[in-house]
Amino acid sequence: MSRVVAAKDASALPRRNFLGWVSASLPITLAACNDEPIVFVADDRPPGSIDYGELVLQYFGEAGRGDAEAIGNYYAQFSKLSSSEAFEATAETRAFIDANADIPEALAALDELVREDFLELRLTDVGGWTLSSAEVDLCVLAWLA
Amino acid sequence: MLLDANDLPTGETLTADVCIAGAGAAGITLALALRDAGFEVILLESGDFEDDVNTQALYQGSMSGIDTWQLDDHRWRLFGGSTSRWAGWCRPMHPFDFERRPYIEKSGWPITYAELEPYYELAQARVELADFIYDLDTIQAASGRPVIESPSGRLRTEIYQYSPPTRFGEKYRADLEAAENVRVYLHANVRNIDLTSSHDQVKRFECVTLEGVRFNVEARAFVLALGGIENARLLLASNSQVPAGVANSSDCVGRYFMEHPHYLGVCIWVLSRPTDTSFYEFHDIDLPHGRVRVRAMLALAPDVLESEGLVDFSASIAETAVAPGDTGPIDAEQVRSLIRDREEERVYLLNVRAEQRPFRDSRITLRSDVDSLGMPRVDLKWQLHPEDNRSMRRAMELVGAELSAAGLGRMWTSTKKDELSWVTNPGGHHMGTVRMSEDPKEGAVDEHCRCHDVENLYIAGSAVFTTGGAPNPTLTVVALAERLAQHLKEQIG
Repeated sequence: MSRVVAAKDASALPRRNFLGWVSASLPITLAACNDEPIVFVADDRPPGSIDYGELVLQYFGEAGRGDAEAIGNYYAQFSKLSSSEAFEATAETRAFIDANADIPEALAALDELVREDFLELRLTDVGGWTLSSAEVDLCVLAWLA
Repeated sequence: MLLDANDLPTGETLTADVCIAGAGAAGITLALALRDAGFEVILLESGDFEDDVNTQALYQGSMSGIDTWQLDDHRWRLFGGSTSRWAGWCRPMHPFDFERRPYIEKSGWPITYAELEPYYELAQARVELADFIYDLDTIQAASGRPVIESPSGRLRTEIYQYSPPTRFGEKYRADLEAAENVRVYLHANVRNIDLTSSHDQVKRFECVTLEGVRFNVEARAFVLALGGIENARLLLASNSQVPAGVANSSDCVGRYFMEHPHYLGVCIWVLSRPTDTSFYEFHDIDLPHGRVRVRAMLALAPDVLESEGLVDFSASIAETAVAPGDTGPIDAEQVRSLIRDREEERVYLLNVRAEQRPFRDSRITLRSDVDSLGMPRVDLKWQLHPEDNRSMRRAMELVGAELSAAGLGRMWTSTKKDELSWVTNPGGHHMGTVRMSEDPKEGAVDEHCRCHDVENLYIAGSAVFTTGGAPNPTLTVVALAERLAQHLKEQIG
């Protein structure tokens, strides 16, 4: 389980610069949008757990990462979720990812999960697009990473 | 024989076995079927063989509901009626269209699909189509083109056949001209339905021409085949003996007006892998008795409609291009990035033609002003049931999910916040205003299209539709007219 901790004193830092600095946290820091304070996400997972940032990069590819970030950002803003709330909302998908041994295994499992989402109608509307709930979670993680 | 009502002496009374008002698809079909049975038939038509501005102006009125067309620009008052303009789209309604659907209030016809099917086969010939085959497997085998995948079976592919289209006025003019037992009177408008003193029989149609000739028609049976708006208008306006209008003890005449809301370009499908979609384009195929133009449409399986409580629809697809902003805040290119292993870069529009729920407040009423014949003009307050928009939004979501599950991309549906931002266009299909019901309190005509209140008065055309279904109505209108002809043969033969 991850813990989200606000870090008001770091709120002035640009989000991307902050990523490498917080080595003890998940490769995700939250906020720096909508005047929210930056928050640390303490990583309680076992060592060697899948790096979400790397995973979403490989999932969407370098060319697609920016689009995924934009979709994740839009979704969070439209849904009026703070970054920490948006992060919490991805819990199921993160748990699904964490159940895999490594990134290649997780990618294959996610492909199937997205397909199952559509079959089982686990859907999320983002600006009129009918998307799989898991792929929207991945977009949120891409935005936060 | 073809005659001009202006040549009649004022005050003349004509007699026949059956008098039909309106020479459109329903009226002409009925007249031809009764001709073959040897009945004396009078067919009254307001117009001529060509458009006439003054005749067409008799249709003018107002729209106080969904206001996307004018009452005089979606129907045509001439010999042949609106078949002079129709596009020829044909398919029968489905068996489930006739059934009571608990999630659609006022659904359930008093007849079944099976009862109408033999008449659909006759109708198929009337609109110059050879084989009454709408079965997907047969058409697909003849076409040789693939159906779009549906991994869960939620999608349904629907077949339409295309009539040439048959212009009833041109196609059947010579037949009616040669028929000695059918008198077609042009320029003849029914101005009033005169009932017997007990109000349960029509005594005569009181008619008038734009030139002022007045005459009457007496018959054993009378049929109104004036169209979904004019049938109700004449019944409501014939209120000198019964203030609510003829055949209106249920207060249903003019109510439950239904269209097929057309939502054009409201859905965008970003296809992500090479897929043959040509089955969904117009193409010609060979069936056992001739060549026919067909096209497939997307819809949802009946069990999905039922479990989700949705009205029916069919969606055609058309390849298009999208620009940034066309899909709101998230561009198609951005969504394309979500799709792994994408190969194709094609985009389609989905054009949706939907059923609407019968809605009591969607209605025709008489206005206080009159046309040049002295008939009250009408106001049409076309409305959708509040559930209809939700229903269509959900339907499109399900279509999008299924295409996505098949690995065929993603779909966008136009929204504005949580509401649909769809412009509702009409199909020119006017249905439900003299609806068919088993219970006289729930409608105006019975299963034989006979008015519950008036024994010898029948209604032909889409006005009697209990529910509208999604298919274009002409084939069903013609099938019902063939069935009504059979009934009249049995009743007065």
